[in-house]
Amino acid sequence: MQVYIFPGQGSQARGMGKGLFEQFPDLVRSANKILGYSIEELCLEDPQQQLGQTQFTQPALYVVNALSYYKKIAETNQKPDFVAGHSLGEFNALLASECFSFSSGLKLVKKRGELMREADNGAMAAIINLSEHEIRDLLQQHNLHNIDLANFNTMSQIVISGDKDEVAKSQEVFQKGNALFFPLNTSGAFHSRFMSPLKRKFLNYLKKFNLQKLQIPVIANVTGTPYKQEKILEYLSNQMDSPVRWTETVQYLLAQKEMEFVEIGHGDVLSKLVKKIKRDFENCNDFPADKKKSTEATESFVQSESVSRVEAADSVELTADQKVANWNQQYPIGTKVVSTLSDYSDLITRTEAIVLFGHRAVVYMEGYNGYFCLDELIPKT
Amino acid sequence: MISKRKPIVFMFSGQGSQYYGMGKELYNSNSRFRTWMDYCDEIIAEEISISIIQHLFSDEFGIADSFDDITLTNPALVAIEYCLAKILIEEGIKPGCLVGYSLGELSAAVIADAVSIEQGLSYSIRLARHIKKYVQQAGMLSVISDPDIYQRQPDLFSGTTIAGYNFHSGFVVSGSNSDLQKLKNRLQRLGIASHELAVKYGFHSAAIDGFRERFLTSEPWLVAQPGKIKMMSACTVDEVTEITQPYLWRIIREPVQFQQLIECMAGKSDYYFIDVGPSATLATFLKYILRDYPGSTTFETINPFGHDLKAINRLLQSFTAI
Repeated sequence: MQVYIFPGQGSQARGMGKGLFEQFPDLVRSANKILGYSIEELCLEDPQQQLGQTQFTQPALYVVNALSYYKKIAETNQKPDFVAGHSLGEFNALLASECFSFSSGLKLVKKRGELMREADNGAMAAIINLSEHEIRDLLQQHNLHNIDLANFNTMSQIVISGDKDEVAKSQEVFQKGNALFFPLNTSGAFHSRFMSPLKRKFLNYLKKFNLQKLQIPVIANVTGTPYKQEKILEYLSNQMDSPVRWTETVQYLLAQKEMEFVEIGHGDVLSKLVKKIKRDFENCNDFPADKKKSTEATESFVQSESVSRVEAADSVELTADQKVANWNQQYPIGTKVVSTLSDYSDLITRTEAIVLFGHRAVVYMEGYNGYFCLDELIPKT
Repeated sequence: MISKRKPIVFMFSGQGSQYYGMGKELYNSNSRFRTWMDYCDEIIAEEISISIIQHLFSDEFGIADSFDDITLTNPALVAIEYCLAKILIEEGIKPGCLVGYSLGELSAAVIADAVSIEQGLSYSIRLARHIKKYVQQAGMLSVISDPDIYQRQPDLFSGTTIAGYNFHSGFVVSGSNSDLQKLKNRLQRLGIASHELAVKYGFHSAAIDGFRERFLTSEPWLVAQPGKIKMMSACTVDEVTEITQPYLWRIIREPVQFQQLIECMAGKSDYYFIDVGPSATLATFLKYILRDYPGSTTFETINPFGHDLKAINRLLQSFTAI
């Protein structure tokens, strides 16, 4: 099985799309007409140094991603089994799934870029080596209440987004211990609450378009699971002020059998993330945070609270598929659980259980940015 | 609090300033340095499948062994300089200006945020691989003498090219290994000290021209943004305006005018110069150059004598005291 993944902002570079434009003269002409400037010149020459400004970055990436996709389809003569894109790249995933035409998609992206440009008082930064929980705790502790988590790129790479001054202030907080802080070159607080007013404008614009039936499953940024036809408007507009759940997207895809990831567009930003997510996942629930392999806390908890264990006898011979089926029958999303391997508190399941890599029965945990093996969990009842 | 009386300049040294064990003491004792190095190590390992940290700090090699495999030395230098600069910046020592010596210009570009650390490391590895493939091996010799001697005694230096001007009585030449060996022997007879650099190619000379065409006609290897910190080039003795493929070529092909650059800068303003290279070589050059410019001060960070911590702590204390 194959999934095509489309990159978003951050992978643009002068010179991108070289050799592509002449292969699709009609599409390039129609793009130039919609945009009112030469897309080819912007991508290849960038004479006015505009490629880094979101209202230009987004159409440029969209066009290069789209042409790269058409070229790939022409070469291979077959379509992928899944598509996904990171932020702006999701528009290319929907385009590949035939949700809208090339020109409609470009109009949407142009609009999105113009709206996002309006929000220019925000900042973003990538935090390396901390889990979602650790980041939230630190933000709380330091009264940084105007910062949201914008991208879950890998288990240990999370992008924060929010008020410019607070993000600047947060650098002190996120350059301690083993955390690393990288400011990003964006003008606005993308994928944060500061995008909410723009989201409504975008939704109004989006409603004017005639969205077609999806032909290839698209994994959505906002959920990390496949798009539902009736949710397109909601997911695509919410995407603006919600985090990009890239780690979950990749994990969902990894859970399918023998998935091959192919990055379509300029560069290899996403391929590197995929590699890292795969590696991180060699061990279930492998967090950057220290894991105490102590079961004492749990043991005492088991005595003090009424806890129902999954029949231990069963779990020995059950296949991963059976474990998942049993779990999903008994425990709805939102079940509170305890881990026998660590002293993580407040574990609440956020998805149904699934089988990863064809042999691991796991469920995604609220706030922990990752999956836990069913074998280590004890549901609270 | 650090006084803003004088702007701070970070200086990044180039090939030849690397050695086995560089930064080891700091890596073992400073968690921030370790965290940054581990981060770089992972990026490098993706490309060359070797852990630079394991190689660099292995007990197999010591300071006496020549660390000269360019595919390793290039990314190792960029990583060490980047991490050193990062921990200083995190301590509040923020540079207003960056100076790069040859490959050091790449480290400067990364710290200026003109290119990302991934791009910088990746470029250094790609450059190394191409040099290995297309360039004949040669060498570089550091000569402790006034560079005038090169003009005054051309026969003595036959077959060699001046690759860099370090200070009043120190310069570097590039040439074939046999020419350099002859030169070394002659210099010795004249009582002039010289030593080989751990560089197996004749950078800054015609010895790398075989690679020129291929490099210049290639798609840009680095797509740089405008830097956020001012960069001064020892190649042009001027501010770096744009990092293009032709400029990247000039950095490795033209002579390094380090002395001229520092004199030009120190002549206009007083600075705190900090050598963020691993060998404190540039700081040493400055001790001589700045004799005529007493308003500027020089600091070193780590050094080949294994007193990383002492040097770093001295630096930090100086800056809290300033």
